[in-house]
Amino acid sequence: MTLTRRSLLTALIALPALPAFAHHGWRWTDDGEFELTGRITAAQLGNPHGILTVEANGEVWTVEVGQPWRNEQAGVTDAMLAPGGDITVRGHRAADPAQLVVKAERLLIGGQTYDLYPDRS
Amino acid sequence: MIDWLESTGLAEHLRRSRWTYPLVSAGHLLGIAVLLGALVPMQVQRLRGLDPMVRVLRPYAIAGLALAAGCGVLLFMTRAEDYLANPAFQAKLALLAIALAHATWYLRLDVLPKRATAVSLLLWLGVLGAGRMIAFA
Repeated sequence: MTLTRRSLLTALIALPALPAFAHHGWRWTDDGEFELTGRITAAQLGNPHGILTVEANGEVWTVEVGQPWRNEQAGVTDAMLAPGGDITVRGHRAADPAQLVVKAERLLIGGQTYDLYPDRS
Repeated sequence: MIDWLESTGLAEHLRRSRWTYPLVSAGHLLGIAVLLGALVPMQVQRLRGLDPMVRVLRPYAIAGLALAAGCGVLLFMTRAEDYLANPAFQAKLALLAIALAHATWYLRLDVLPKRATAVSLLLWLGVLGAGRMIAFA
């Protein structure tokens, strides 16, 4: 029972630490258009969510990109999102200003625009 | 071993697929639903001193567990290294191991003591809770 309680506590303690988990939908984002330009320092691509770490103006941002099917549909390859590359992200940032998280609608890589959400303006 | 698991064609397919991954994810949830959907009424009946309908419910619990575990392994292999480093995942595996040992130990008894029943319920709900926290840890 003590062991059970300890494991449960461990799970609960993990609760307040919410770093780079991806979000569904757009309700959590700010309505205003947002743009971020920086260098990709890490990429975690694949299901269920694609997440980039982008260094911009001395800040470390989390950029939510598409799942493989969405990136592919937009013409974005994994190689384009590899660490070391420069990228401009257009989309919406988290409504909470303390969170350096942006969900991408469009990516600008090498002068080319890739539209992840063609249905969204 | 972990690197190998992540580099298999199956893991690669799951990471890149449009439909397979969500289907496997749904299978994992269905397994959890069937397992707890059978286990919770069984144990609550026991705690209330009523017929736990073991004959009816236990096969569902075991089938649900098998489905959840099978799909769980597939989800795990897409990012084995990340999952192993995830504290919620570690807690889930620890709770799962205890819950399985507990269930196996008591499987041969038809009449489960109330204390053991409550522990079983807490353990499986703990597995569920820790599992949900993986995405937030």
